[in-house]
Amino acid sequence: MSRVRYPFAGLLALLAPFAAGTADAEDLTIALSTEQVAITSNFSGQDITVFGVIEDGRAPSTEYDLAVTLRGPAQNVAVRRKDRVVGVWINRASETVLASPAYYWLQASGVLADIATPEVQQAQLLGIDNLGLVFRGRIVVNDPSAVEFRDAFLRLKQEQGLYGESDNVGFIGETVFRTTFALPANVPVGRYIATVYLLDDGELVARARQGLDVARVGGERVLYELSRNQALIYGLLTIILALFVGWLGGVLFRRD
Amino acid sequence: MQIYLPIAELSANMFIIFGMGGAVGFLSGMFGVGGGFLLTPLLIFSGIPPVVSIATVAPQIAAASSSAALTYWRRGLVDMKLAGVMLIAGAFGSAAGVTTFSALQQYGQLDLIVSLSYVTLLSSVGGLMLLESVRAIINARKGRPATLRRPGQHNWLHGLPLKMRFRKSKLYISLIPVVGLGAGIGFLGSMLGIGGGFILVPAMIYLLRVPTNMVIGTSLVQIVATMSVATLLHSLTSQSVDVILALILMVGGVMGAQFGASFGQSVRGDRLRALLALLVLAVAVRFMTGLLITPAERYSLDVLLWAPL
Repeated sequence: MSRVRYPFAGLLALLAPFAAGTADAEDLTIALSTEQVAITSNFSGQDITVFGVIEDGRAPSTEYDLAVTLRGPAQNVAVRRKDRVVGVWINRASETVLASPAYYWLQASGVLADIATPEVQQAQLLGIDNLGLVFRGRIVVNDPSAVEFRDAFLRLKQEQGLYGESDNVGFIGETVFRTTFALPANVPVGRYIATVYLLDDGELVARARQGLDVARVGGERVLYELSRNQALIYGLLTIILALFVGWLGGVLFRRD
Repeated sequence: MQIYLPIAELSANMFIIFGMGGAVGFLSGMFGVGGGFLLTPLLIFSGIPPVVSIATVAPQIAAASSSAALTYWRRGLVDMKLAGVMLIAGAFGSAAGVTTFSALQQYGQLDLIVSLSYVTLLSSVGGLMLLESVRAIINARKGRPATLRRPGQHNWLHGLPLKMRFRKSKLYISLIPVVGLGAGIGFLGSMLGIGGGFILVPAMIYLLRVPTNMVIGTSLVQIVATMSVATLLHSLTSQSVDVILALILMVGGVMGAQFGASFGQSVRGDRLRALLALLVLAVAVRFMTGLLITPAERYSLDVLLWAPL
């Protein structure tokens, strides 16, 4: 059991943000292609590549299995269902998913069921079916009465390109591997955590994580923060802009 | 060229937005209407969240109406006292509209109420306009003169109390319909993302009996003021006014309006109104099908608030 072999895994995981890139076991080191994704006015998505080195030489590295996840900040999301009322489709029933990752993508070196035992998948929240989604007012994780909403939530998140699983972890030589996550244009801002799970025979051997920030920069940031923190000024500036553009149009295209 | 909209939080094609602003501007210049009732649905149908679409159209309408308002004001064709009373009422109406908007948004019923309101409003206004313009076209064919109701005649509204004199419009009328009209337009404008000119102008002519030469200028001033208030209130409450989206729409709209205005002068008035009526009805039908047809996806997601990891 990984829990017995690595009793400090949890503690080290907590320390991970202070020692970016280091692993909770000696044999795994990872790095990200970037630690800051800048949302600028022409942002249309970005690729994040995770590199890793397996330093332990006990077995050829290519015999290990790898799962790499990228997890976005937590969000509360209302899932609403339309029902027909007097011929009109309106939002009736709804459930609220608490603290679900805004983004979750898994890249694995094989089919998840083949490389990680169900216990490991559940303990490590590996794969979109093991996220342990909690619904407001429902004590049990994956409460049966909320199952249809959970399924709809996962389906819609996948359609938006914010959740997914695929298997393009590739080895470069003996010990180095890499995988790429394609962040879509609609990626939510916040702190993201990339986690690499080194697996052997379905069991967790080592784990390493590193964070990256997705943040607005420049004009996008100024405008967004103004609209949130100085809403009055933002509103007044928008009005002045509107009246100015209208006035300018009148001057430029004067017909009288 | 893709551009990231900071408040809508999505990446959109700048030229498509510019084109939509321009096309609606063209139509609004041609028909002499603000165009909010076309622009807001167009934005919603193209995938901009309804909340952002409605809030952002407010400054766009203020921009689109302000140059014309200024022109009428310079010519002395604005009854500032009447506009003043209406816009004070409009500010209160707008506040009520924005409050209702936020409450509906919270309960996930904004889209429904917006669709229902658009269907009701557009089908009745479009229907009336079509009827009126078809009648005018038939009359013109038969060589009958157009029957214009003369301003200055009294109707039941003039029997109400709380009268006030509006010298410039040569009116001595009760404040009740004036305040009601201003507040109603403010409410609908902020909640639905429309300027309301297509309701305001006929209402001022037929209900208040404002002289036709004062109607356009006064209503434009009222629309600019109400939409400015709506912009401010949306910025403060729903925080969904996307200034980048608004700017692209404004520039497109102001330019399109110039071409539309010159094109409109070459088409006969009654035909123009019939065309506009058909356009209004088409938008109403589009909203109605959205409500009645079984949706391909019955579920929707709504991010409530950011929580720390």
